[in-house]
Amino acid sequence: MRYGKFLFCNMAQLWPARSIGHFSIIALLAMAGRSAAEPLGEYWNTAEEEAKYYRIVELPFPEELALEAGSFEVLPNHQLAIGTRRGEILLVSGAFDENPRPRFQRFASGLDEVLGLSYKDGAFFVTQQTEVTRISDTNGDGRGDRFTTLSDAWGFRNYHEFSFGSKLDAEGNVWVALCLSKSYQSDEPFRGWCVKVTPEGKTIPVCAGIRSPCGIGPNEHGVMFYAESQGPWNGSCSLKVLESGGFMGHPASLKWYELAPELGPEPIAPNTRSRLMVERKRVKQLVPYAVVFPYIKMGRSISGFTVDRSQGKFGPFQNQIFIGDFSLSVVMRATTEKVNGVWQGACYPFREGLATGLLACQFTPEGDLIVGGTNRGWPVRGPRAYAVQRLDWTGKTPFEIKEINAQSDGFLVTFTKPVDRDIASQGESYSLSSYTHIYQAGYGSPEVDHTKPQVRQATVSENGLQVQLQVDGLVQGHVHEFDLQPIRSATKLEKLVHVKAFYTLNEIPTK
Amino acid sequence: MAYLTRTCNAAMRLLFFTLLLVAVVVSGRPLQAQSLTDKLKQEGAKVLAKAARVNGDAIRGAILFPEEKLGCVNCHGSSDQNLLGPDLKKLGEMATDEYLVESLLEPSKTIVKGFESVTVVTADARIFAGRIIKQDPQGLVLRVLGKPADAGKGRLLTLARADVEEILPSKTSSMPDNLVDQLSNRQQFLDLVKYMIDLTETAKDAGPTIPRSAGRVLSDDLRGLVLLDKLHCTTCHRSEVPSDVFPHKQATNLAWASGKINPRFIERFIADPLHVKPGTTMPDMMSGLEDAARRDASRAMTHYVVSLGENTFQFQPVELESVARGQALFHSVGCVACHSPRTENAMELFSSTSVPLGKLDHKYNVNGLVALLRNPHEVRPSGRMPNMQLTHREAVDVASYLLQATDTADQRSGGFTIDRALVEEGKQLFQRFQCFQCHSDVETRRRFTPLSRLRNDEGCLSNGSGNWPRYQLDVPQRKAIVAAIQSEPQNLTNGQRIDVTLTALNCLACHQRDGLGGIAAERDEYFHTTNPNLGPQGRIPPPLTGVGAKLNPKWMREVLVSGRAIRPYMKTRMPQFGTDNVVDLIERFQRADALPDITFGTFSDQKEMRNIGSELVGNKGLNCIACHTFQLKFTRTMPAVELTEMADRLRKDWFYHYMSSPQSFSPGTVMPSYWPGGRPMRNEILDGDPKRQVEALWQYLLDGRQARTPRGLIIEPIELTASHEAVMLRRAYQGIGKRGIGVGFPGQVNLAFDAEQMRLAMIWKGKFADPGGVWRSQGHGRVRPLGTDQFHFAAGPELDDASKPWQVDKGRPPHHSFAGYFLDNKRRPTFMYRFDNVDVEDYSIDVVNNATNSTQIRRVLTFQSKAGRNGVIFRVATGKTIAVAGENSFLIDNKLNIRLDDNSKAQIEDAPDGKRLIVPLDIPAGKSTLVVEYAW
Repeated sequence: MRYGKFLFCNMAQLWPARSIGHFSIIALLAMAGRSAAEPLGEYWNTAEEEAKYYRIVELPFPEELALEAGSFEVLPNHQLAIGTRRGEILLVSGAFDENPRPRFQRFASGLDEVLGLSYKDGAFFVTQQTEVTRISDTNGDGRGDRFTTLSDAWGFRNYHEFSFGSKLDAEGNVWVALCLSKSYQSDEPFRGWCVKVTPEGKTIPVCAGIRSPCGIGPNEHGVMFYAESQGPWNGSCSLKVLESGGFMGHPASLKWYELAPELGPEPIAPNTRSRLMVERKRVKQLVPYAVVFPYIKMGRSISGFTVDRSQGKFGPFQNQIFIGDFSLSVVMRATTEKVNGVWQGACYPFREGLATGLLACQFTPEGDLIVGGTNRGWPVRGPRAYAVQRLDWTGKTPFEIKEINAQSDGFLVTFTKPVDRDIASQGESYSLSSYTHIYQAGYGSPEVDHTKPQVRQATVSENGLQVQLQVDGLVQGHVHEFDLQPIRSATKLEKLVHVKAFYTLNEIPTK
Repeated sequence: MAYLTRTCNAAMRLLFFTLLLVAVVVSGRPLQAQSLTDKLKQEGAKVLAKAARVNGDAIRGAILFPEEKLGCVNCHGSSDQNLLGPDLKKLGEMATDEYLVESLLEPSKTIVKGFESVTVVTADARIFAGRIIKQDPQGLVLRVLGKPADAGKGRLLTLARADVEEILPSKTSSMPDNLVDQLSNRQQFLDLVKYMIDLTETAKDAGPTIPRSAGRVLSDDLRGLVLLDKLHCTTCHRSEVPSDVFPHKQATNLAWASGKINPRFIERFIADPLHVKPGTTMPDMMSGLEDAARRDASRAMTHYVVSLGENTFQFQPVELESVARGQALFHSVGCVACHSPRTENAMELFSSTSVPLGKLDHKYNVNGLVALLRNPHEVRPSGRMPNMQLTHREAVDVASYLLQATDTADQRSGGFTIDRALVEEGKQLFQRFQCFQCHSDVETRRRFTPLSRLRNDEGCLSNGSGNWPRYQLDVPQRKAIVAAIQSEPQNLTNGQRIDVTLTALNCLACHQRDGLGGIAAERDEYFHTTNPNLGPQGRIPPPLTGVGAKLNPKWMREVLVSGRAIRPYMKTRMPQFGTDNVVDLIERFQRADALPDITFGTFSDQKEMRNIGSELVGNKGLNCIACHTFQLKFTRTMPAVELTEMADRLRKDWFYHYMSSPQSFSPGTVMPSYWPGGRPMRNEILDGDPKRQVEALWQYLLDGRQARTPRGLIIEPIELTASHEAVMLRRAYQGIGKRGIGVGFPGQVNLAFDAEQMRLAMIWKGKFADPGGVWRSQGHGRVRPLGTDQFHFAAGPELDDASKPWQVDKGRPPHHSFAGYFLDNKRRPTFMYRFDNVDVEDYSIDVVNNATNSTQIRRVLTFQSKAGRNGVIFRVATGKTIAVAGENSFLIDNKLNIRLDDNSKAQIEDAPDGKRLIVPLDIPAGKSTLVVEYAW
């Protein structure tokens, strides 16, 4: 979530940082509507094919419910809980039925943007703008009546200071990613930080450098990540790892280091109009962006994500990350791996054509993926003001690039079905390009420093599911974009549902 | 004698009817106050006509024209020739301004020729008033005015000549005399007249309209081509028809039937398809067989067909409430565009002109029919039965309706067990009777005589029985097939290919293209809208004439392939025919349709143009939002096509043409021309240059969903109010940072607590709040208290160290921390926070003061501390003035009365701007309380 590019420019010119009071709200209002005639971007044009494998199932609700889903949780009693932007927690029965006819009951209301929802031992752990709250129903009437503030340690003075909370980690902590003030400055304590809130209500600063998060949770290896949006110091959206003392790239929040002495000295500020690879060497705490989602090609505002732990109930992508996009109403996949001590990985198109801007997603016990959100406030492709939908696997396996892993001399590409060996063993069947973004204080970045790595050799595994690519011209620090248009499956010569994938090569594995 | 009696009887009834009518009209008029009609009549047509020209607003008039209370479009809509009143655009020279005024005020003064009304008395003494549409020796067709519920335009009534007793010409118009009284005032009348002036003028000045021919029919050879495919002729007889002329129809997927179609039905159907399902496209392949042999063969073949799947067929019960919903759906979503509508007794009304359904209740169980409705292309991949986009529940409803009469005899007759021997025999019979020609892969097909060498009167083309598939072809069908066989289909033009595809998929049941197809008159009443104000455009699927020049190919694909719909008010759904079956149409339409060249308005500053466009769209400009939705919000009367999708859908040149003359594209539209006769209705904008005005609109619309909200878009306020329980909302309130918590109490008093500074920040009376400022757009605003009598308290924590200066900024106090709240049985919160070593609970309730009978707030603060805390101060209020109003009772600014409990010693002290009311406290170890009451 962020302002359009043009709005930022205007803002910066008109008001110096930290002097924005009541006056600016009017200005914001006036400009919000005028922001950017930028088109939302092309479709992948794969929806018809995708629908054969993953169908969209509607969770209908009455219009007057105005359900703006911001977070989901599954309860032990098989109910779905929905936290909303309008500050409600709704309990839904029947949401997991094959043909859902859900029934809603209100557990809590009056909260402030519920963008994190977790349930444990009879209580909800809720992240709202102001705080992390433990909510329980002490009299058993099905409604929350005790709202215990676990932490409100951060400053909150501007509506755009959104707070996104993770589900409870193994120790019962909630990790909270705190958006910058107006998504540009850090006017209040811990804006642009990630903090960890313990079950006892202790608040532990984790790291600085966040810009405008929109989703936080563990990756498929259980390590906490968050979704960052394109903007200043972020050439494109990306998934980043939240390491204690790490620097997430945007320097505005470094000023609060004095509030977290345990993290050691404040990082030096990065140079603008540089490259992340270059600044990594100067700013030792700078954590490379693990999975870059090239702008427009792979969303415009990546949002809530979750890992498929359904053990195959959702098709061939178990233990992968599924992530939504607010602007383009699409769901994508991502995989991560740690190479030379650094997290990196790839993203893949998955399903387009959802009805509204996606904020959150959640797997059901049946292994279907609930997605939902709102198209309020920012440009969104999905035409509906709010929707909760479910992606159900039809049981047919799509022919897809399942995963890409980095290797010392290239990549290992894994498919969901055996490939046609003749085609797959030819280097020309793989078109690679590489690029990176300018690391800068200005908004976003074009793709720069393009190269064309060449596949020297393609070796198909015995079972036909994997291809080892030996590549000339790998570029460390670059996104490697794959186009596998010519690849066909071994039986029936099926085309790939999606021919593209994007690997962020922060590190090249040593042999 | 008998004749006379009947006539007298009828005449008596007519007299009675007339008297009754007069009585109603007379009693319906107010006796004293002069009606608007009378007042206007006194002014005279000449004055009013001139006033309308000068002061009338055609845009407002355009909005009035279709409004239900007036019902103008019910009779003067122009999509249909057969309405009660004339099409205003066809009045021609007779439509002077004065004439229009008079026709509104005195409808019967001049009646347009051909629109005279008559009263028809029938032989059984029923009386109908209306207009004769058609009259011939057999009888007459009458348009009678109907209730608005009758799709808004009354009924077409067909009366046999024998039933008509008498036709009496009427001197009065069927337009009601005092219709104008439905308007609010004179200005509305002028607006309406101005719109009608524009309407008639636009028609007079209309430039080249889009050419269209009415009542076009497909030539025999093209119809024959469709039949050849529909009846699967070309699967056996090689033809010259290129495979891509139109999507080829494939036979059903037999394996699908398992568990869904009753084996007993299959058996009967194979034995005698033409009688079991009259109108079926499956031929009788065993017409040469004796009855007994035929029965045995179909039994064996049924065992074979059932063996292809794995499920057992079972009847399933139908839910009655589902049946009623299904009936409504069946008759509204579009099923009856092709299939016959049914009476309450499930009798088909137009079976001869409909796609037959056969006896569905003998054929499917509920799950089977639901599966077909939900995904028809799985069993019938060719899209002839399209996907109506029914949800699962809707499909269950429609299936329940169609299967409600499920034959209990069949249910009793027990299950069906597959006999392996019969399966084998059936398979051989399938071979023998050439069933695999259609129900199998292409490769295995046998080839018979090529089409071009067929004899016109033998085999399939004869009606005789023999060793060939027997169809029941009628004469026109046979003629068409023969014409097709003799034609050269490989030379079809692009336009002909479109026609053939539209015919094969029966798009023409709903859409018209260049005069071909369109809704049949008798089915018109099944096309409904949620908003009658939209006129015919609100319920009739749009014509496809020129659609290739109208829609962007991408949008067309969205509609055809992805099921995108832009007309939520139309109850008939655009079905999905399957990508492969329709995708060619996109390119063909684009190739076929073109518009005359047009030059676009010029501009230099795009941003400025966008802003002007926004002005034009708003209510101070052309007021597009009066009818069109913006981000699905609609302002007043109707939800016409969404503005933010326009630029995505439409080609720019089409938009230009349409804006200059909406009626020439959509004859039934209620949209006015904004440049009637080329003259602008808004002179002051862009020098009144029509092209630049249109360009400004376009530039604005290009912003799509990101376009600035146009002026005048009325957004319904959201109201949060307390009922029997308290309501809360955490968010920004006036004078509080972002950590405000508002509470609306059942007793209609409200407060906002500041959870950052730990203080009561404001109180007010009446309704709680409008959260629009935080629930709309990005949420940058504040919650707005809705009630009255707001009282704000000063910034800074209430409870603090006495030695510290009173914090006056909005900063976060360093020694306070918020701890949450819990709710009582009326969901009223007790706020919890900690100051230093003191835990505070702050509980407010609404109580009625019995003395004043008004609701006030009673607040109990409970302090809990292990060691106690001395030197604390509780800051109650500040004001310009604070007066002592009684024992421990104070009046703040002459508005707010504050009363403290008897144990608390409050003090008034000076402050920079006035006075402060404080309570110095030494908080003891353990528990202590402070009670404060607020009355205002």
